[in-house]
Amino acid sequence: MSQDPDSLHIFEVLAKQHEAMLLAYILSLVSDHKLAEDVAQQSFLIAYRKIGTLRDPEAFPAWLRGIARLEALSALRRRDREFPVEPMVLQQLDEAYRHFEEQRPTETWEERFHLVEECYQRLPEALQTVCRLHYFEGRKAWQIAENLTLNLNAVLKRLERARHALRDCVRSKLVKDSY
Amino acid sequence: MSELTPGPTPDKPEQPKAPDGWELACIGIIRSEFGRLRSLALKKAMMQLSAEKAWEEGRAEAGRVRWWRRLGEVFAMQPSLRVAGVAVVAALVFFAGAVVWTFFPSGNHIQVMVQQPSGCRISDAVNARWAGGRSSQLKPGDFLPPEALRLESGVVELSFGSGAKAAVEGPAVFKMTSPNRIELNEGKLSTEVPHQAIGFTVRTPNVTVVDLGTRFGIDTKGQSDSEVDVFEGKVHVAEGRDVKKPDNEWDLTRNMAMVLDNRGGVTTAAAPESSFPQPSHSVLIRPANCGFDSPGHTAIGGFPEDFGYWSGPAFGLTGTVEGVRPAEGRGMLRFLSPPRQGGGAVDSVVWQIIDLRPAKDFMSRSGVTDLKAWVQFNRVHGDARSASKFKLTIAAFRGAASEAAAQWAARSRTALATAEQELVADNDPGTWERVDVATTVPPDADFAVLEIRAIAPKNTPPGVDPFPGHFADLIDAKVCLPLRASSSSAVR
Repeated sequence: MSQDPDSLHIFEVLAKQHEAMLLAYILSLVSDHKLAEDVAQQSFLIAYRKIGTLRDPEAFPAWLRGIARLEALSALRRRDREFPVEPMVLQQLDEAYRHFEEQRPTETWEERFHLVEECYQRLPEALQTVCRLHYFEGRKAWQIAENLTLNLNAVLKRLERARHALRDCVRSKLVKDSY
Repeated sequence: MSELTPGPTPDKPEQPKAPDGWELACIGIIRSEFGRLRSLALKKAMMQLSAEKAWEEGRAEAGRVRWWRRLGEVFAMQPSLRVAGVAVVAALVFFAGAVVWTFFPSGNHIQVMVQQPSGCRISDAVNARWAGGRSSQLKPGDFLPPEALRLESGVVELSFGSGAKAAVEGPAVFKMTSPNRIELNEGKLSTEVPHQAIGFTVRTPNVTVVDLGTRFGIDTKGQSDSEVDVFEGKVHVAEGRDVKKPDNEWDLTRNMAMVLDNRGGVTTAAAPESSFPQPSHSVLIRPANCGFDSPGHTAIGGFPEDFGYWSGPAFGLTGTVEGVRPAEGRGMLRFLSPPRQGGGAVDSVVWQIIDLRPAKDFMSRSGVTDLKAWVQFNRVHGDARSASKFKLTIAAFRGAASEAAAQWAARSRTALATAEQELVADNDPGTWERVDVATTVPPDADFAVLEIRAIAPKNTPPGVDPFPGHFADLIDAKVCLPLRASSSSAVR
């Protein structure tokens, strides 16, 4: 692609289709929005420069995620905030995104993510609140505990239950879609 | 809609487990506001790639020009070669003509030689006057050509592909030699180099300055007279043109300066930063949910009691409706009619309190700064009974967010700065119209209030909705220092 005089434009059109996915993917690993933006920018730069090594154009989103994963983990390492992510967990993360692509091939990423929003809206009020405060508004668990007059462990457990409920809901919807 | 099963009993004492991959995927999607979070990553990456591409094309072009010039110089220096040269050139021309005639018998294959840009863009200018020739037309937004340029007077701001930014004040003669390097033969320059552009180099006739992440200024008065002043961070200064074989070299840190002339280099204290032209600086003080694309950060009610959410008596967030599409993204704010008080229609108003503390360092460092805000408005086609006016107001205050309501109510007395602008909107739902406001704000301001208002027409008859489709989108604000010329000569 880089040999073509229109390569930049072609790349931009292709990358634009997956911009929302890439940011969401990076935000799975990096909670700081500014850092996630930097990682996304760097991933796009690397992707453009290495696009010649991509054999199968269909594999572009997975290939882009691979670049972003390495960049995100290396950015965390530079910031001394590396947390151990098991290879199995990273595999599952990719598997989740692959399911979105395979089960809903005609949809945009925003349409695919609407499925998660539906699951989120079906969470019980108490779980939705901690989820919103922690993941949406970026508040720390101890701050949420203070605001809601709960103990820290209770907030952490609610977050865990919210995550489990979301995971089960999203998985069941994607699996159901495949039949 | 049925609720998801909440799982087993709450609040067990054991530690929660780390999320698995599917859970991480859900977390990322929530953090991205279900894909609606606006990102500038691709835009920034494309800008950088475009600048790099432009630079490479410019260098290739310059290489071609150099090749012809060198050939010309060889023939000019060796008179005996001139005859042979003419013969060689004639033969080459004949051969090229034959090739074109043979392989491309029809069509126009002549390409116009266009000067390619350098990968460095003029991002701002104040009273800039360039010396004649092609460069006399240079203006903000243009890429600099890779050739020596003479800025007669005024100030220009240059943005490099690497992310570095420089202000050059005329009279100055300079040339871009790479996306991260500039030659300054005469004049004043100051630069700001972010982390990713470390290595940014300025070469004068007698000094090479390599930046190690900083703000610094250079004043070059001729072939052997340069001054380097460091305002922040660290630079490496090498006397001579070749940084690898310098006559002398020094590292300068914050508040240090060096004057270098043909007698050598002397270190001294840095001149004030205002002795040099200064690039523009800004800090976004972005309101929460500024694109109205996500469902959060909103509340129906009175004046907000805290930072970071939109509040007003009657409004909603919506996607495309009544034939009006959001200016950008999925959502926009829709003004609705508040309950009438005493029969007359009232304006529809929405506020947000913005915390200025994250910009405090910048404001304290800069003194009085500009406070700017902007928003876009739109409305459906309507008659005289529906509102046609909108207003944007921003005001800055000292104190805590909890005092904001009282301060706002008495803003004519309490505001440190305020600005407002009204818009009479066109009757075309296909166009969004932007309103900008600006004022100056002192560094002790603690918070700002943004108000967007759809103004109800006077004497709206009872039962008539003055806001059948009135919208706002893409609201934003920043504190900034504009590009400025030096206020005095850097003479100690």
